[in-house]
Amino acid sequence: MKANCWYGKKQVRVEDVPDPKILNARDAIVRVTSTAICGSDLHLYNGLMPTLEKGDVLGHEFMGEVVELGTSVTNLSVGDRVVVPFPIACGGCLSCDDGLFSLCENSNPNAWMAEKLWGYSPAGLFGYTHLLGGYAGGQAEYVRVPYADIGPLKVPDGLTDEQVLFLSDILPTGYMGAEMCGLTGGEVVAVWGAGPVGQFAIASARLLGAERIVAIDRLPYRLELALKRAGATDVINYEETDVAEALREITGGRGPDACIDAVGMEAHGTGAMAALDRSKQALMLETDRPIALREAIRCCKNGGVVSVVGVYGGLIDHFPMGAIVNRSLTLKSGQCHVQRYMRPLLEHIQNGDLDPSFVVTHQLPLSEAARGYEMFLNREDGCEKVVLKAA
Amino acid sequence: MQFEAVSAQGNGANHRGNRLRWVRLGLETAALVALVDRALKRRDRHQAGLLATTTALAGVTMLDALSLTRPRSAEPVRLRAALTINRSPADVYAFWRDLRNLPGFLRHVEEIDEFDGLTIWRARGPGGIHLQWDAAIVADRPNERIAWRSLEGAGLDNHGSVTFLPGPRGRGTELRVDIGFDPPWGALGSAVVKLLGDVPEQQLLADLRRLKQILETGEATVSDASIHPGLHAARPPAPSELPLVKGLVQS
Repeated sequence: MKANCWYGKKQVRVEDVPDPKILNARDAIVRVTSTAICGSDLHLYNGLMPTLEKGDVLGHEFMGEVVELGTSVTNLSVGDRVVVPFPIACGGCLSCDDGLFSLCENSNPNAWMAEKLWGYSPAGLFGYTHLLGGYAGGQAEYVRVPYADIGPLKVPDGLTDEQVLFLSDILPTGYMGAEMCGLTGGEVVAVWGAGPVGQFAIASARLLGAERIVAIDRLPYRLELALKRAGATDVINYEETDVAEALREITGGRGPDACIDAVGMEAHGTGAMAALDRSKQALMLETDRPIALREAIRCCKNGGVVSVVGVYGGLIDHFPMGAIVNRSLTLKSGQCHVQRYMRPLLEHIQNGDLDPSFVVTHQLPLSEAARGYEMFLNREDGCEKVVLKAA
Repeated sequence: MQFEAVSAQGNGANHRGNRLRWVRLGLETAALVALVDRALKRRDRHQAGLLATTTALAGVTMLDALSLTRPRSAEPVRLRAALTINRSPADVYAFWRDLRNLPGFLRHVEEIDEFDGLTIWRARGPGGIHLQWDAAIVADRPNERIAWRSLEGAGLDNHGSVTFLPGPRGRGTELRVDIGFDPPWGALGSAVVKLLGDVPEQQLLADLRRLKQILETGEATVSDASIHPGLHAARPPAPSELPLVKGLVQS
């Protein structure tokens, strides 16, 4: 089959690899119809996440048709149309029991690697480094899906791939970012990053009752999308406007009740600190550039919540702990527990509360994956989200 | 806090002692290189004396190198690991107490037979080294604790225990394993060390994780990359690699 494989910094190529086989009794093989490039795939593309091997199949946002089932999967049938969540979760451990699917205790056979870096291991993920399992990803014609009786969600035929594909990651991720803010109605929420996760965090904050939602980015086309399609009430272009000052103005001097970091480890930014972070990351003195995170903490109102759904891999410098302690801030984070959110979000899509397909700006055949990565990285041609068609 | 690997104290002391011996070996090697250099350059009456000193130092260095690369009989190895399994202590105990289940998750154990409280263990290490020993079950408290000790004359002196405690708020089982080895001097000692791998406690924890997978999910979980012992791309295995996979899948 054809699959998009990683070969080094800014090097991916579609090549022939063996077809996947059932390896565990709870596996399914899915024939991929649509798969997407995630912002977090760009961290792999830029060579910033450790433990990739040359030839790794990338991709963790995918959907398609079940073509083969292991003997223990009884709730799916061959021919079912399914969306697959990016965290691989067994459904039987204490973490899965608690709904913390991205912390599944059984799905990472390389748990010892993650323990060396982070203390304990989270779940294994599709196509996302060996330290997170070493599973072949979904930017391919076929994928082996472990614990297929727990993860994949059957989706009705009436909805297009573009409407349901993002249930695999970015829609629930944005939703969890908003949910962690603990909104009860009437709040001001600021969202750093108007990429696809930021757009869905904005749309979710709106669903959860926020009154004012401020999108922060540097790309006018993304801010416009946030305003016109996601439901932002205000936008700030940080290259033109001082973010802290603008937020103080918008909130009558209080600061936003909640701040969402939908940017992560490769933040752009202005000023000396941003330049210093960029140099330190290049020299591997710091793995992640926490420019957006620092600003989110600084801008949040006293007693507010900072919700982090942007991906960080390792270590950051100049973390403003003093602001967190002295201003009673709450910091919440996590890789999305996708399995928990798929069904309720599918209902929102079916009810017409939300049409996630608004983020899609480009469709390419799987064979042009490399071009898709390049466009997405360089934000060419108003690129917001690339969907690859595998069938 | 699901997993906990506790470094045995004796092991830590071993590492510190080893580090000192490695430093000493490094210094000796550096001195040896300098001496050889001087002895070879010298063409006068001191050359013979220098050569004698060099030879003596070479001998000491070699002995130190040998003692570092071979296990010493005086230092018992103690391994401890703990993790929490989402099954009742009765279930986990019952699975463990049926010793035929152990080779399913203890990677190096091939077969265990039991007759009247006496157990016969057969194990295989990397490179196909075979080991066999007899052990007696010295404590067996249903749903709580099992302890064993190898018998006199066993090729591999070892003892250990496994305890099953109810997890927090009655959820699951806290499983703790504590194993002690007395590696004998010589070839068998080396075999034991090889058997344990580079990071014995990590290996023990990996074994217990497979047990947890079997009890919580039905079988040991494999990824595309983890079916290979070494580094390998995360892509589906080729048909020629499938026999390797079958060896790991418990179906």
